[in-house]
Amino acid sequence: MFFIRFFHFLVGYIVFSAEGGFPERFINLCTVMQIPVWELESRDGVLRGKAPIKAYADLTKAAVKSGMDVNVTRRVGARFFIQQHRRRVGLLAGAVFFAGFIVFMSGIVWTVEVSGNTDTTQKEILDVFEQLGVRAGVRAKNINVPLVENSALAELSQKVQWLAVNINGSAVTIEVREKIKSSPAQDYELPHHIVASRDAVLTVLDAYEGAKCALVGSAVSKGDLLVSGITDNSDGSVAFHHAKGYAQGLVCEKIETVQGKSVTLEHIAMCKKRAAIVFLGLKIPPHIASDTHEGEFYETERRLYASGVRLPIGYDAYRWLVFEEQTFEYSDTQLKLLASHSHLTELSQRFRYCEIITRNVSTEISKSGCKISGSFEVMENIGEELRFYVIENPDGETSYTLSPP
Amino acid sequence: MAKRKKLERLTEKISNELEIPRNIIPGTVHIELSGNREAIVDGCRGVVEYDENVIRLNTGKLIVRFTGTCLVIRTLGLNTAVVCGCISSIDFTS
Repeated sequence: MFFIRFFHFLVGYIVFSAEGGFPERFINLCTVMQIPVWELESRDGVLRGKAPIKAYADLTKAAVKSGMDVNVTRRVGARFFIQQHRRRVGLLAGAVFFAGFIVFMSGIVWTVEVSGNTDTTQKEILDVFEQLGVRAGVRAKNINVPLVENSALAELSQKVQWLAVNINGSAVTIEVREKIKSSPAQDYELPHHIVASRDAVLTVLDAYEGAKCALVGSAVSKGDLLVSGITDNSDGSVAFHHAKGYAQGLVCEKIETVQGKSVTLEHIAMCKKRAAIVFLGLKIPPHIASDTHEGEFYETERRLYASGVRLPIGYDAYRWLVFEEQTFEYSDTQLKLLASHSHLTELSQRFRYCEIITRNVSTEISKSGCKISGSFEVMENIGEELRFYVIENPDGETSYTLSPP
Repeated sequence: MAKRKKLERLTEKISNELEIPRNIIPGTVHIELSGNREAIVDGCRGVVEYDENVIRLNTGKLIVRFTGTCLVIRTLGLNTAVVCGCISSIDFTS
């Protein structure tokens, strides 16, 4: 309906009213004479409607035949509007300026976005592109896409495998594909033993390659040989292997966590704030960030968003903070909670891959702080690979050593 | 007149037998309603009565009478009329 109305406005039409005579006959005559009339309304004996400007003469004829009196109430259309406002130069200038502004601004880059990056930060990529002239505020036409792509790829070649610059109107999207890091290959060719990583009572010992050197149920100390990478052949010769196996043991361990009663915290003693308006990459005033003030410097960017798109309009807030140290003392409840939290965090890190068999935990609050001590019996994998080196002596015999020759 | 009626009956019979949609047979009025707010009358031959509350349209064989409030003929063409407003009833008289 909007387009029909807009079309009518462009072409122009008259709003008429007709009274007296026979309205039905008038309508029928309009139909017969092929006068396009629309939005006909009959109220209080007066017929109102709309018709094209050119049809006015025919409309009068139809009105005469039907005994009606037709009056043009209003003339609507672009030409009447222009005629009416032809002396208002300001309006025209405003319209021209607005059109020019829209055309100019639509050719400028408003946003630069990066997609597809995981390890490389967005700032890192944007900095490179900024150096190459791709930033908010530049004319999109002036960006030489192939040149920028190649230069940026050369700059980021350590991390990025492929990138593309897509200019879509006023938005620039940088698509990035990063290099996939290959995990270091494990060398299974070099000779290794499996030794105990901590003191334990051996509960499971499986040797997939190499020779078992300990019995299940026996106590082993840290560094004791569990699976040997040296095996004797039937002909008396010796073979060296990369020993493979699984060793599980019952380990006793004590964990102590201490939380001090007093804590020293930093609080903001003084704060100096400044802000700069940002419009299409221009900062007003421009050199606030380089000003030197006392304290630590912090910068925050605030930008306008339209439908989730970050616009280059907003402000940058700068703060210089001076910190002061202050000592606080925890209450007993706070102390207990903090100590428990630290203790549980430590336990979760230490026993992540273990099964806790028994535990005995005690809490002790003193003047200096809170101490949580616990003794645990856990079942865990105690096998640890240990490289050894084979040395061939001048007399033809071979020996081995744990330190590199 | 009798011949014309005979021809009409014959056309109707044929269209029934062949299952042809009635609106493609010449001289048949086709009315399309959008709720009670708009009625598109195809096959309108003229306006018989036009008022805020009543609009009567000549469709040849029948006179279609729309009653309601704020009734307006939005578009009027050679064969088509679009009646808008709050339509409360539609009557047919021959």
